Amino acid sequence: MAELKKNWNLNPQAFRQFLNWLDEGVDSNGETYLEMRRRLVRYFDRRNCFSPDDLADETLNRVARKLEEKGEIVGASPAHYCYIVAKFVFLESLRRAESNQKSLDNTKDSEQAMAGLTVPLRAEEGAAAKEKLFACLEKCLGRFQPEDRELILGYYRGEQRAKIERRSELAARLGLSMNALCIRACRIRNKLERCVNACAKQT
Amino acid sequence: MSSADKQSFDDQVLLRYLLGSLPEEEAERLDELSVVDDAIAWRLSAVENDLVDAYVGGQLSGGDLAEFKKCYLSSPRRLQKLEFAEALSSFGGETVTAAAQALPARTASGPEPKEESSPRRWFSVPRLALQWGFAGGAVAMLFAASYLLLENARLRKQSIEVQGFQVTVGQREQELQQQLNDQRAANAEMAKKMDGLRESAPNLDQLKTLSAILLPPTRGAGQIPTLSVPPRTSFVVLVLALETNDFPTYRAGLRDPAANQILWHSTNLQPASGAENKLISISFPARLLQSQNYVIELSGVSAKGAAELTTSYAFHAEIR
Repeated sequence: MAELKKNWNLNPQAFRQFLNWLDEGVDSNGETYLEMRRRLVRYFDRRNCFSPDDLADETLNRVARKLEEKGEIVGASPAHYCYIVAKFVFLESLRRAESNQKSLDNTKDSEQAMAGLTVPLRAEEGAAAKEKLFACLEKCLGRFQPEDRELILGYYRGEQRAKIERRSELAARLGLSMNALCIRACRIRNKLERCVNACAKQT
Repeated sequence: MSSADKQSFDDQVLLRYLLGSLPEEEAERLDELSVVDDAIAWRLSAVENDLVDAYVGGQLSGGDLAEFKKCYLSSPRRLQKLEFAEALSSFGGETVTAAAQALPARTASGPEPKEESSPRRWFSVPRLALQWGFAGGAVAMLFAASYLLLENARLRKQSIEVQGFQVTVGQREQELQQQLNDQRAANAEMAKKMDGLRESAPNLDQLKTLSAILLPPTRGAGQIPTLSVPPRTSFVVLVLALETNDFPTYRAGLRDPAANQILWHSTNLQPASGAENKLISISFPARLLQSQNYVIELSGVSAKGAAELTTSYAFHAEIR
């Protein structure tokens, strides 16, 4: 049974069932799933886990598997249930790390092998990466609606007091509360950031 | 979790959570809310964006700056976020300035207001004296018109000459403006290069690097190797010897086994050429180390991006 669980793969039917369950009756076209995954990645990352993406996928796979086995999950909201499973996955990752540490108790002394090796730092790589990022940012901004582009460039411009005043003006001009404007700007920025990171990986 | 409980997490608390300086109990509550609660998740994301922007803008100082460098910048995802913020900051400034410059230009090039002509009325009087009077007047007007035509032609000629002069002056002005812009751009570029040199040159002089090679762990009893770190060492460079090279790329993490925390991550690494591609070099800031045991966890990354722990290299750091 344990072997079966270990080798369980998320099939299209189970995935569809999982998406519906996460959506709680409101079809989000997969957006709720993506947002939950992003939150889990950030959670594992803040906990300094080694592979936050892998752990987030592991969490979502386990929840989907449980849902397929049981048919329904009661007693907790989908987000809360995902968090509970994520906590277990996190604790297990800590235990795995501990076990790796114990297996290292019998390592051979390699002090004599210490040598004065040097590895040259490659400063020019940083400049090239920045240029690439800048080009991607320009490209991604070009795909946004002009009003979103204007909003994000205006919202995040300036420093301290000037920034606060500009945000108040923006909120008044758009007829939004400060909180609503903050969420809207944050949503656009996160979307832009994902686009830029994906672009930088491709090029 | 009650709504009052959620309200108690103001931006300062969220900031401390992101900087890793919140007590564990509170951090756990925020862990949960960051996944479960939409409002907290978005606020946290917004505070994180502002935090990174503040660092990019040089607005962090004291404890916040120290915590940011030590805790926040210890993960590749967060470093990526920082790079994005830097790019957005530069881009935002340039674009908005350009837009501001373009705005008056658009306004100035708008349609000219039309001149309105006033209506005129003409009356005819059937009287001879008046007709002669009109004829005389007409002759006088003819002379006047001829004079005006001549004068008009002279003025037009002058106007054309002035326009020609203006075009020449305008062209010259544009040329000078272009030269000025080019010079400014060259100066800015030079200043940028000088800044880069100023930043890099002293750092390279001041950098003290400690290098060592770590062999793959073998079975059997033995002590873990000790790494003696002299004071004021900037970077530790470790060369990890692989038993086998089965993956296209690798990732390494520095773990503090006592605290069970990953202190530093590498990006994707490729084995060095030569030595049968069985050497991987990593470097991390020496300030991360204290006098205690550490483990370098090396994971192989498959072509599809899946990571798998391959080897752990334990060592003892001794700060001297």
